[in-house]
Amino acid sequence: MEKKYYEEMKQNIMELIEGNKLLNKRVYIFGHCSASLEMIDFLETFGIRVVAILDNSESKQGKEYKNVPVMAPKRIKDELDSNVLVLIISRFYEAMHKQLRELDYKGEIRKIIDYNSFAEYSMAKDTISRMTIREKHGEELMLKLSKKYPGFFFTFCPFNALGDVYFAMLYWDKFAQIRKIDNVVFCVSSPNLAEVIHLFGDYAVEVYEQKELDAIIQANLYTRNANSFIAHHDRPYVLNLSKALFIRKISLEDIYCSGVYGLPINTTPTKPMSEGKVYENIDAIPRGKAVIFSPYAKSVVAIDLKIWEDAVDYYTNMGYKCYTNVVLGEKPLVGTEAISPSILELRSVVERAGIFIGIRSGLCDVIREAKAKKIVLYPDYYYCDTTWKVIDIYWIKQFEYNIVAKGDIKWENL
Amino acid sequence: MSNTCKEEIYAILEKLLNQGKNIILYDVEDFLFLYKFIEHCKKLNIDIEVWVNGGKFSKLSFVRSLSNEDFSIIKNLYYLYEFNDKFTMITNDKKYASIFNFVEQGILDENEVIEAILYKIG
Repeated sequence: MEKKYYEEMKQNIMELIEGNKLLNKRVYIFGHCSASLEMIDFLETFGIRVVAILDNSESKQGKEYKNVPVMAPKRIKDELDSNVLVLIISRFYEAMHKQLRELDYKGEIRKIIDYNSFAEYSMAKDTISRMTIREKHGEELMLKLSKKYPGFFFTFCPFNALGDVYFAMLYWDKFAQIRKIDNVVFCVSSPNLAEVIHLFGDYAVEVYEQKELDAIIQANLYTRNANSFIAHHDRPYVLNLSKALFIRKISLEDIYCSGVYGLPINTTPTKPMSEGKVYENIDAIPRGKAVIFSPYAKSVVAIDLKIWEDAVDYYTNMGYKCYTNVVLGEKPLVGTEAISPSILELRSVVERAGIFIGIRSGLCDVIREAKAKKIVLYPDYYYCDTTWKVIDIYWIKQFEYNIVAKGDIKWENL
Repeated sequence: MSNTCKEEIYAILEKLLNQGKNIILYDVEDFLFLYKFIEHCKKLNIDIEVWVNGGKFSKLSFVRSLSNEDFSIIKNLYYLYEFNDKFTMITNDKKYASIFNFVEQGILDENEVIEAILYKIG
């Protein structure tokens, strides 16, 4: 779950708790997805147990997450207790709400997240007025941008995710050749994303606050600016692209290659031109005898701490120095040293160390060409509300090992 | 198919959405695909209206024909913001990703695209 949605989820759950809305309630969640699992984890910290996850997908029914079963939505009718609350964190709130009512469920239903700033589910005059003001502001921003970069093409990466931007850059060159684009400026929402783009070349990049970026993207949509492109598989709402995953398993890389850019599936991606920068304290890392752990990712369900602890124990006993890649208040795993290289320095750190073990996140994409032993761990859950596991969609062929992190991992065998 | 003023067409749209109707604004120059799409909606008995530009298909079930102006009004509204998750647009605009790219690259066929678009609708 993106950090801002996670914060919204926390806030809304806290309001329910503080207002005693969850007291003595049998809590169900409708929709099995990574966001639902994160919500279960969060509720658990308050001692609130979810009774079940309701999901229409037959392939998910019968499965469990932390002893919370997944069952068909019609099972809500078996619920005899009147103190029932269904929480919905999925994007498909309206459809799910309707389905519950059609099942004659009369209990309480709560929407936990409002999904994106492009969406404001109202046609009231004041809403249209606000959205119009936002769009006009976007046009002003676009005018300034066009004056700064006359004759340029504008490409927007709307989402604050390293991996998405990395994928967008893999196929940008080929796309630009077909579209005959010479000069481009990329618009992103953080300096880290600008660094990812700079791995692929000395491109012009503008960094905006997220709300400003949303406004400028909206303006480009509204004005049908032919000199622009939105390089994302899931933003903004006008796409139907992700729905293809309800029909076919398509890896995220192929989604970008063919779905976003319209290129043939066997198109060779562009590799980063640059290996980045050398980490300033590189000499402190024992060459070939260190492990860089990356256990944190903002939009991913956490992997069991024991798996990381076992890995640290194993490699420490084998004589490796262990580090944890951390940012902004994250704590290093016990028995490891914190390390915080920039995006551009990451590859040098991984190659110096010799081994990288990380939770599947965009950071893994950034170092996927690094010459080192690379192991990626996936939480065992489904991609959004599809029937494909996350490992199916995010598999990295440049990593020696792609492993679903459940049970014991035999580190000595890797 | 007369032009309707903005407020009137908004009111029609809002009423239908509040009634639980799914609306698709069809903005693709491929009317064979539209026929297939409608047939699929009939087969699944989905509560849906497909809004098209022009009167050519006004006799097809599920289809509401809009004047050019009304079609533009609704399209502009949708490009202004996502006002309802029961409203979506089928378009093959090349300024962003498109599910039709998968058809062009042979990853999905048209029937699968229709199935995908209608997934979880109705």
